[in-house]
Amino acid sequence: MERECEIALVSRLRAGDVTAFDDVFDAFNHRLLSFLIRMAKNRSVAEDLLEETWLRLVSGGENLHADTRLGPWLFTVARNLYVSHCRNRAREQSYTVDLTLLWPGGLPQSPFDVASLNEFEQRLEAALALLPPMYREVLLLVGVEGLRPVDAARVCGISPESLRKRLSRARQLISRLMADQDPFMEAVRKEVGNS
Amino acid sequence: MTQDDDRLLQALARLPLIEPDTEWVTRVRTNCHTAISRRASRRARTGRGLSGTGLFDLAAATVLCIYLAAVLAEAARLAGSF
Repeated sequence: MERECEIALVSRLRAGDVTAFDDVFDAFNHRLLSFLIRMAKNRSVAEDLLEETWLRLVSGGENLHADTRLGPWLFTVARNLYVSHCRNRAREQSYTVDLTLLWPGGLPQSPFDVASLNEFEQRLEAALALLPPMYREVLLLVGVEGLRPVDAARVCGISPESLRKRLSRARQLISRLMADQDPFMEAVRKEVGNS
Repeated sequence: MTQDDDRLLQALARLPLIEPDTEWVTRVRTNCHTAISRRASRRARTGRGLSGTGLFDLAAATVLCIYLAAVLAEAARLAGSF
């Protein structure tokens, strides 16, 4: 989203413009849902957290600063809600990922969908799911969502230097996870090397 | 950053977005629209309430000033008569 567009959008949000909300919703809903599902490893929990995220935008929209960057703001709210959820429920999901939870109707069936979710991506998703949340979130924010490291640091509530270290550690961990596992992961590692 | 790190980030960037359930999207969007409308109407009501209160305060202050002026005038008249 271009900066000028974003500033105009924030201004309309502050005025309580419903169409501005729709524009933000359309721009970020998929990304936030993907982030939360990969963090929570549970679609239903992610949907609840995301609904609360949108309601926070509605209730706090009037109080946004004129120069608010919507992406980092929304990811911060979503991430904090996830952290609160983990604290309140005192739970982190088991270290297994059920990819069928990621799609409402099970795994995609059309050839295009199957191609879009190739074996490598499944392996990468599985390796991501194995990471501790503090490392998973930095890879998701920087690697998947493309946030600037300074924005990702703000989302996580840490300094840019801490984020750099955490990102480096996350890379090491995921590489080790992908290398250490069975021949399936070995193939993944090769694909990373060849891509 | 090593070449492998770059490749890893590129691979992560290619991960597919996860599709939301359409019914869920409709429900959440509707809830948010309702909340926005509710806030707008509350804001409008509060605005009207504030302006009404302001007029009342102004009227009360005016009456009080007239009353005090009358009291002072009467006091001055009485003081002058003694």
